[in-house]
Amino acid sequence: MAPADMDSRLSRRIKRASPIVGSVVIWGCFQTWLLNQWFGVELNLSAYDALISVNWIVLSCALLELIISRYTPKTSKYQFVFGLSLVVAWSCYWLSYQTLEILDKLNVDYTLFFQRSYPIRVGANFLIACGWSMTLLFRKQVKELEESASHQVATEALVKEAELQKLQLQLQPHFLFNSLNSINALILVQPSKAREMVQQLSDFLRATLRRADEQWITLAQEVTYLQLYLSIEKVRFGHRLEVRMNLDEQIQLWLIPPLLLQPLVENAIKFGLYGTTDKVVIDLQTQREGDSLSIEISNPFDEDMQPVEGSGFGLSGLRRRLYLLYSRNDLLTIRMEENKFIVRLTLPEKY
Amino acid sequence: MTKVILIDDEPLAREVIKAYLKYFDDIEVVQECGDGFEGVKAIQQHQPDLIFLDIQMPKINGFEMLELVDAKPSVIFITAYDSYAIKAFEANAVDYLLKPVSEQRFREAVLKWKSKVSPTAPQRMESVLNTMSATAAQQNRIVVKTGSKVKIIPVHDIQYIEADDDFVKIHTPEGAFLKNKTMNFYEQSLDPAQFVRVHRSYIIHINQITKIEPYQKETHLAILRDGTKIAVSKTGYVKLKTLLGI
Repeated sequence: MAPADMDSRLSRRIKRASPIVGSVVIWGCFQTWLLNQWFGVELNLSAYDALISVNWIVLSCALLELIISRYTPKTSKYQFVFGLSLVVAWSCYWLSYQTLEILDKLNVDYTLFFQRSYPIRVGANFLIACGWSMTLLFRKQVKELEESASHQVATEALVKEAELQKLQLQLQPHFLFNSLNSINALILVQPSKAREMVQQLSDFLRATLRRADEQWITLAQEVTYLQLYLSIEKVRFGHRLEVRMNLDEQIQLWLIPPLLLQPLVENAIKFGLYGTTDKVVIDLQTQREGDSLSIEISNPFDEDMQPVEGSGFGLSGLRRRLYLLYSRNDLLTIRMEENKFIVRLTLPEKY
Repeated sequence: MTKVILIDDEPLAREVIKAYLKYFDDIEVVQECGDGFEGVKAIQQHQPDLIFLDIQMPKINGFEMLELVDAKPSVIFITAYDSYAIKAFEANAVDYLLKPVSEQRFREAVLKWKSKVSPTAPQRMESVLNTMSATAAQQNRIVVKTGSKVKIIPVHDIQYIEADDDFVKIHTPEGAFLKNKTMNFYEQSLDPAQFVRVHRSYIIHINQITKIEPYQKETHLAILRDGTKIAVSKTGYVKLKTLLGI
């Protein structure tokens, strides 16, 4: 430990202990003065009495702190503290008496005086012990509250992270099985193409797994990943699917959350391919707009079609993800124009 | 010779089936189709004995396509779907294959079909279709055929449904369409918060109602937005009242 650190710890302790030490000293002086001036006890004896009483009450308070920090009952803690203070108050009185006797400071007069001042002494002790315990109890409760609050914050962060991970990894099982089916077919008709597709699918899956651990990737990386995905879909729907990309070179290094574009394109393809029997053109456009990055994905849309819900547009997961990441609900918008279904994503700048 | 039609929107998926079918000398693929519309036409034209059908296809799905076919052939579904739908098949003992399909499993399915071509099969098929299209209607559309054309009716466009012998007539702003289904089927599958069976022969979309007038004895008349008057029975009126909160 660095000396400076030790110094600061020491000074903190002194700072915290000084009011307590101060009160103890004042209380001792006050008792001495009280005995001496009010009851006419000689100064020497007054000092002895005060010193011994204060000594025992300080020790008792230390004991109280020890007990309360270790244990307080869940219910009726005030009764507990009250009882404890009573016991302490009486014990201090008795111990002070015994100590004075052992030190041989008690003459007959003083013994009588000491015994007659019993209610005042026990009462004062009780008030001190009670006040001290209450302070301790209060401090303990505040600390517990703070701890539970910070615990809650930590739990919430964990839950959020887990939810994000889950949303990210929503790989479409249909996609996987359909791709395997295509590979199955290619093995029969075009074995070399089958090998190629196995490779593409492995690359895609590997990238998916890797992406799941990352918080941010560059737009360029996401586009590369998207192309892997598209190469597979092209094998399945090659005759009907065309994807046109219009990428803004300036923003290729902008950071975006991973696996954001691919599900959007997957949706567009699904929606496009199953919404019409014609050829499907998907347009993808990235563009810088002031301080943010805009991504637009459009697919053809037949107005006569009523998409089957559920198999339709599953953008809710993506919305939720964006909300968890950016705390905003307005980043994803959908509009329809001229037989086109357009999804627009706006991401705030992040380098 | 057994006539077979393949209906799947992925050419490679059809390629696999064709390759597997080479094993059977007595099976001939008469046509391949890339979507449900082609499928309906091809089935009508060729009257196949067996079809291999994908579920998720462009425009209309496999179940919806089957609804449009009058003389239903035997069906082996081939799909990547492994959801609740599959359970319905199992319960009804109609065969289905999951993609990717192994050659052995494929042969088993065909052999099973060959040994089982029996008069009970179409009925079973009907009950599967009822289960499946019930969920489709709960989704939000109904597929009908008008002449040679296929029309997709969004559920919210339906004004009312009328019983018509063994059929039902679905009334929309674009006209009425016949569908080979029962009133009970639609009473159960349509959203009960929007559609009420007000009479043995009528189900109405509640947002179409403009007025309800007393008629004879305990019956009423519901007046729709386009002026159509629809008879409401005593029990129908009670249902209508609770739904509209009057």
